[in-house]
Amino acid sequence: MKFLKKREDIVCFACICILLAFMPILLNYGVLSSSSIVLFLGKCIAFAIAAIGIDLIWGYTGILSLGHGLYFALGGYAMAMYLKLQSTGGKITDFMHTGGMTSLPLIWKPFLSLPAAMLLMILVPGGIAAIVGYFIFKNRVKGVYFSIISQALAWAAYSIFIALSPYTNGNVGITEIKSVFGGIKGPSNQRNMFLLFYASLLLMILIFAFCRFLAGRKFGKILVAIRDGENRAYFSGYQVSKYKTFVYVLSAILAAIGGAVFANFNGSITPSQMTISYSITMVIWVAIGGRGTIIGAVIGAFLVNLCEYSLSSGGLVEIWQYIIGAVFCITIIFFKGGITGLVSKYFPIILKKLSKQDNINKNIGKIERSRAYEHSNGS
Amino acid sequence: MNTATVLEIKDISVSFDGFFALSDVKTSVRRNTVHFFIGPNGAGKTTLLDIICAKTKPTSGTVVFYPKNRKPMRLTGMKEHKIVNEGIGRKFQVPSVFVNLTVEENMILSLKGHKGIRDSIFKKPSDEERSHINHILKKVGLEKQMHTRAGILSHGEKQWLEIAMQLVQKPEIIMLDEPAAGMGKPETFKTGEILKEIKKSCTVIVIEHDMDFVKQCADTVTVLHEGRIIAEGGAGEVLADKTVQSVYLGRGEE
Repeated sequence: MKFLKKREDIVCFACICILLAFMPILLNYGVLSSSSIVLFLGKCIAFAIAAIGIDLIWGYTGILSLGHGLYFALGGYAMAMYLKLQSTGGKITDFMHTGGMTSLPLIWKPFLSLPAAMLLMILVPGGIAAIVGYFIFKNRVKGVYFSIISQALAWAAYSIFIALSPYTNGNVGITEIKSVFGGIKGPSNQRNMFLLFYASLLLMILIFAFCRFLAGRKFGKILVAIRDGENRAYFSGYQVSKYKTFVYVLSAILAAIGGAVFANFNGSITPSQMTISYSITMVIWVAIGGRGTIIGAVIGAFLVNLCEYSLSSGGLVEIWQYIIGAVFCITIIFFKGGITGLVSKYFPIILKKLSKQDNINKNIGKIERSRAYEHSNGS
Repeated sequence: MNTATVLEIKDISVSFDGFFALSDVKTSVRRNTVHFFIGPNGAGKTTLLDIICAKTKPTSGTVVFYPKNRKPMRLTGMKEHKIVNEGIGRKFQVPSVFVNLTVEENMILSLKGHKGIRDSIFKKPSDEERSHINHILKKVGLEKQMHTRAGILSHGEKQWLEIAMQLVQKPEIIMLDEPAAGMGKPETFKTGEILKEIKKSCTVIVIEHDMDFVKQCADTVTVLHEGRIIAEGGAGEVLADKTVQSVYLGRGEE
């Protein structure tokens, strides 16, 4: 029991993973009627990976980035560029034709090979985050100012991607792509989809384990220390800006990986994933799930998106934005810890009550038994 | 240079937009003493500490640190985390412990060395370091609260924890900004006893207002007034000084 107590989050995460792992099986046996739910859960896995990154920078280190959509989209684009070239057979795409190009542009060339594409998928967002982070954190820009800069960056990148439409296909984005395992739509491609789903699930487990490991070490404590008392952290001898840059880069890379997984399941990537509102949505997942606990980010990403999925298919499409906005405000004002915060606060109390009830029942049982014993002796 | 000197403040001046918070402050701190800086509000005491630990840059003047068995170094112009690693710790006016970490974790983060990212991921504190932490926590009387979250400690306990966090770095100098602020008499007395104990292994620089506290444990007292030093010497002698009484104690306190 004590072993479990310190690892409740791992138990919870394991439950989520087992549930997810059963989904394709359920689909196979016809319990689930359509494959779209599995595809959707795949996207949720992508969101959860990105949310873990945001949790590291916001929940642990206390730096609110409102521009992580940028890194999410950069990862997504890197993946999509490779996949697009796979489907055109390395030839130039229609939108490049329209843009007046006759041969494949130089920046598309590395995306002909998967390893190069994957490397760039990590290096480009990581590199940008490193440069931006280095200067911002060295100059001790923090709080709201950092949030504004991160938004501005996302907005600038969005404008650039729209402007460079011969290279990026503007606001249409890169569409009609298959996954790394081939086509995933339709019953004939179900095997590919399952493969992609389990690969993504494994990736999420690895990332969760890695971040949980980091958070549990002294490193994680230093992040919390920076959040709670930056000055004290400086005067304890830590180079705070270095740590902040490191976490920022790490979270950017996680967002990029999330974006790449997303592109696989979504079959397209558009600049709308780069917008500020999309970035803020990611922050909302973490806030609702519970910041400062890795599991909270995962729970938030799944729960919010599942709610959106089931609600917005009905007549609630229009008001979904209002609902999520209201929930976000309520969470921030009344339950700072989000769902995990609520559970960790009230679960022990409920447990205590239950065990008390249990004790009372036991005692009643004892009394009754002893009475019965006396009774039988007496007679 | 006298080997007993551990810190020398040479002609320090600081101006904020033309207002001189400190002008030509010149003094030195002897090793293994408790050195008090006192003075009315706005005298520039906290600014002086800020300069020593490089939080504020002086307009002119230098601060030189004479470490034991090492070459002297100029502190003005160094980065604050470097100064900490050279052996000068600082406690702020408002207790600033890491409230969401336990007392033990607070101490582990304050240990000397291993401040890099790689070490913070792969290194665990050694047994020796753990016993050192235990030893220091016993000194300040917090050994029973090892696993308590620092946020729920009382005000006094937070102050002692912060002092302990300085001590665990084995510093040569520790600077305390009003360590007894907001404490009751018995707690203040205990803090004074702690200071007397720790000066055996390092030098203590203190800013304080409580005169009983000053008398209890000061070796040297420097009085600042409007950015200048107006008196310096032993506690009894300085507090008896007429000018000091008129600027600082002239409220019929003595």
